[in-house]
Amino acid sequence: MSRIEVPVGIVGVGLNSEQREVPDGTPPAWRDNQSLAQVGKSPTRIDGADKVSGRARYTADIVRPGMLHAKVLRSPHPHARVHRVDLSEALKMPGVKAAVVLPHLLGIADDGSARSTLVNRVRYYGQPVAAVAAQTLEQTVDALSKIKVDYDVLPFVVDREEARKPTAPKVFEQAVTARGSAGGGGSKDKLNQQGNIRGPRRSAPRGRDVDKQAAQVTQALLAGPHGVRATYKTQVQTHSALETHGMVAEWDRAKEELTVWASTQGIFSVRDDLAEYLDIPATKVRVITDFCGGGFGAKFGAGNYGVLAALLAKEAGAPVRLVLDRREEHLAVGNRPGSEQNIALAAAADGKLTAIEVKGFGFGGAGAGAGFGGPALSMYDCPAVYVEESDVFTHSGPLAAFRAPGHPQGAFALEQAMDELAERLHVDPLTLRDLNDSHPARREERKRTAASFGWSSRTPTGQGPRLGKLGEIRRGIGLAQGCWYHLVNLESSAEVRIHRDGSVEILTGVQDIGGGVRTPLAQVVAEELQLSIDKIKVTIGDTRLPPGPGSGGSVTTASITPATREAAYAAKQALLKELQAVLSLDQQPELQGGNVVGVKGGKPITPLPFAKACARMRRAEVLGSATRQPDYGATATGKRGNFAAQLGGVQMVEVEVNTFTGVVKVLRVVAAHDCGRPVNPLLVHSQIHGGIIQGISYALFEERRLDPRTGRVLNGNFEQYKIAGALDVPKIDVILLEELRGRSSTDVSGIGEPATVPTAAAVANAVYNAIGVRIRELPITPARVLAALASQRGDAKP
Amino acid sequence: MSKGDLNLLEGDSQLSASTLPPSEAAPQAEVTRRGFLKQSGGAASAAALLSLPKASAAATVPVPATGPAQVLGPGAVPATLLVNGKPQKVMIEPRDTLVTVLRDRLGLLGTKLGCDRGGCGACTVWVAGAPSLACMTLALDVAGLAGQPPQAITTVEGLAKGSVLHPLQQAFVDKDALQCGFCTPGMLMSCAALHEQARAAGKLASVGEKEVREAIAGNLCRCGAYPHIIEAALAAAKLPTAPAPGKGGVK
Repeated sequence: MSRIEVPVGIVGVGLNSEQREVPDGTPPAWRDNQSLAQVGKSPTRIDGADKVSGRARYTADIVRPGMLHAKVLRSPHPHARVHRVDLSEALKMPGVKAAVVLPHLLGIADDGSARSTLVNRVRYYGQPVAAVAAQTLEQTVDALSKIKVDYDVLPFVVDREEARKPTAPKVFEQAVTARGSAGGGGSKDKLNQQGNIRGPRRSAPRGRDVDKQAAQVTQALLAGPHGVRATYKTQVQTHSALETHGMVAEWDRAKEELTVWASTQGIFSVRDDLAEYLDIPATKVRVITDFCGGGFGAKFGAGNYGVLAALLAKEAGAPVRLVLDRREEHLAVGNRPGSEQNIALAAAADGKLTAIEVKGFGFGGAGAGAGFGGPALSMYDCPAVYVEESDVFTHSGPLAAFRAPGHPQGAFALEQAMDELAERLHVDPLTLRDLNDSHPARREERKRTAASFGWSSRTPTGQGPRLGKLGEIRRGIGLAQGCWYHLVNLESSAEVRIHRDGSVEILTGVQDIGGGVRTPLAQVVAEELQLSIDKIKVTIGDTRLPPGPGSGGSVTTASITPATREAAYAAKQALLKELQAVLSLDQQPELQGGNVVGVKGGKPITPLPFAKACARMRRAEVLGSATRQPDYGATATGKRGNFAAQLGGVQMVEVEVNTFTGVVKVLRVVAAHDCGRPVNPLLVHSQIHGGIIQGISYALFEERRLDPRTGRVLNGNFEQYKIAGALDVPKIDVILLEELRGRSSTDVSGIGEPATVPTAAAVANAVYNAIGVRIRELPITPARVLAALASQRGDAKP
Repeated sequence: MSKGDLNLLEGDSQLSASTLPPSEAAPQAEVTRRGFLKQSGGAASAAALLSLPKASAAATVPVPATGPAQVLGPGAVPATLLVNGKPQKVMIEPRDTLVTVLRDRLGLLGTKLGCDRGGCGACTVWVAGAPSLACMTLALDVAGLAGQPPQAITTVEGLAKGSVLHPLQQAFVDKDALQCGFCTPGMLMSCAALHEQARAAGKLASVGEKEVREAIAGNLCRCGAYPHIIEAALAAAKLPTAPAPGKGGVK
């Protein structure tokens, strides 16, 4: 081990130098971005031209010789026993080459029975049952109609209230657990389960005793003197990536090897699932993802569709493409679960929080782990915090990890409750947060956001000017803050090769889901080797490469950029060592200003440009490889509640509410975020925009609707499942902190999740400021706004 | 809106489980709006239906005002598509949508399929210069047939001049107007159509934010790249000598 100096602090606020104990061979720490040539700059995406020209190949664009098309048969019943699946007639249909019954059911909570018996029970409308492969997609549709399934139809429940009644049809008879994915989610706890209610899972902030916290919370809530208590509800949201889930599978029969092209956030998670469920070694499965058209948490693992595609390809002896349609996306491949949260806060007369309590239910269909407690457990300096989360199962599609699992829901309740408390205390909402949140990044973010936004001009709630011809338009502003965690995947590895012609190659099995990871990787290596990024080729998206992290939980750049820098550093050392030998130098030369400089016989040699130096190598290439080390010494990799490893985010929003129509329009957003050291601020801005826009969409438009009469998804499309479009997007200003903590050789954290956590809460707080009546249920539709205004006027309920 | 209305509007649920015995109620067996459109093949096969003897059910279908009905289908018929300035001979079934033919027969994979029912705009191409949804366009309706010249189709592959990107494509790269990139071809076609129409009217330089937002109002981007897309479209409009696109220009 050796010691290095690292800069720590927020650039522009103050940087200190700290010592870190690191393994030998660790590259020296970078100073702030201003001192760097490539990192912290905003070169455009190196794969931008591929994406704008139509050359980028997504999974649905893969064409293999003799490729067949496949489609999944899905249950028309939300609850049924499956007795028999007869494929014989389907196999006789024109063009059909294979048909298979789903052998294992993935994605659903695990009731302890073998996954192969889970398929005998349908627990949601759209659950996969079987699949066929045929020469054309139209033939698969015809063939599916010939599959005979004997269903024993059972009573079901999809309504949130009904599901909680003891008499409700049970989704699971046995106690369940749920596997998480690299994107989060899952629930391994053995919890009490009665009827459709599983839980509560009881939590307190990290390192505190749950029972003691629960007692202290009860006491503080009784003591007051100031408190608020309310119930908040959030809806089910679907991921709705523009590219649907899909896989192209091809077997090499002679070698018994499977190659798949998958639309995925984690190529290694797909490989491992296929190896497990097809019972073949991982070395016999290759997964390729050149480009992925968005995932947002729902694209981890092989999925039922992937297992079906691989089986069909094996059975048919031909490549098979199975791409889901838009409707299937809304039915069966995950969602952000709904929630119902009873939140109570108490504060002392000076405004200091004395208790935070959240108790409630998550609605993740036939999936477990629908929590929301993260923000309550992590965000504020409060001596007593207690959370109870229970799953309520219904006969509907299971949840999946979705951008900051649990956090937009939790923030929606907590951040509105904070505003309610501020009002009760007669203090400004911003002041209340300053009083109760000492997180250094968020403190700075509040300051900068408020200055840029003009927070001080906020008018008291409901007292803003009346605009519009008839005074029907009211404006309001609101703020909310969020939290996420510095998470890292320690299996992330990279290799950097320097070739004799001076070209450089990065090889790592990460995948681009839209964040644009190729470009920051190139920047990091360009920085280390003092090159321009166009000299660097980035090869990703293939499980034959060193394993990269799955792209979920905002771990991607935090995990893979340090390994990549260290691989480049090792390759550089190998090159310099080689040059010392070849050029008979007195000691190992150095790279300075893009040139190799050294001393021979006591005299400096003529500086050798990088490419010329490489040309002197005796071998074709030198390489360096590295795996992500744990964060340096003093810092810890983040888990829920680990304040030191927490990421912040503060957003302020202005809205306009039409009190005649109930329509809410977001006019502008100022958002301040931190993600450690931003490698490429332009790309970070893009992700922050995306998080905010998804948050606005969640706040105002999106809701998956189920028919209580049939259990069916009513809006499995984009016409009735509305997501934000260009006309709904406000002006967005981003303030990006450069926050250094001396954690790794790049000191990078993620940004995907934090950007979407506070938005819906900020919108809701702004709506309240505009109209003076609080809307505690998402989405904030015109109908809900009008109903709230009516209740404010004291109108009788219609 | 009542739940019943929603149920009717949801094309895939028109025959619900409650009205069909379970064995027939499998979702894929239901009559769907899209399926019906594809099966009946729009205008071309409406004509085909008319030609059937005793086609009493079709008697209410209005007869096209011009010329005698042309009988096409149900099998594939030879036709010509004029794509990116190049005539291409291709076999087309009346039920084939333009996006299917472009992607699966002609290998033009830049055009994406996002929803297959006109809800997302990922498949936007130009038909005779106007941005059109290729998933809602029957290929035969824009193909060259006997007595019907093909309409000019432009896809994202037709925007660049060889390896030189269209100024709008370059602006998308420069402004980072994309993330996953799946909506990008459709976004580009909508923005480029706006530009070409403005250019033809001599108003390219004055294209404003409102017009850009409206031009892409039918193109969904789940990554939320809209702010940078708008920036890119405005920046490209301000370029002094934005050249016309490669092929299959705009009316």
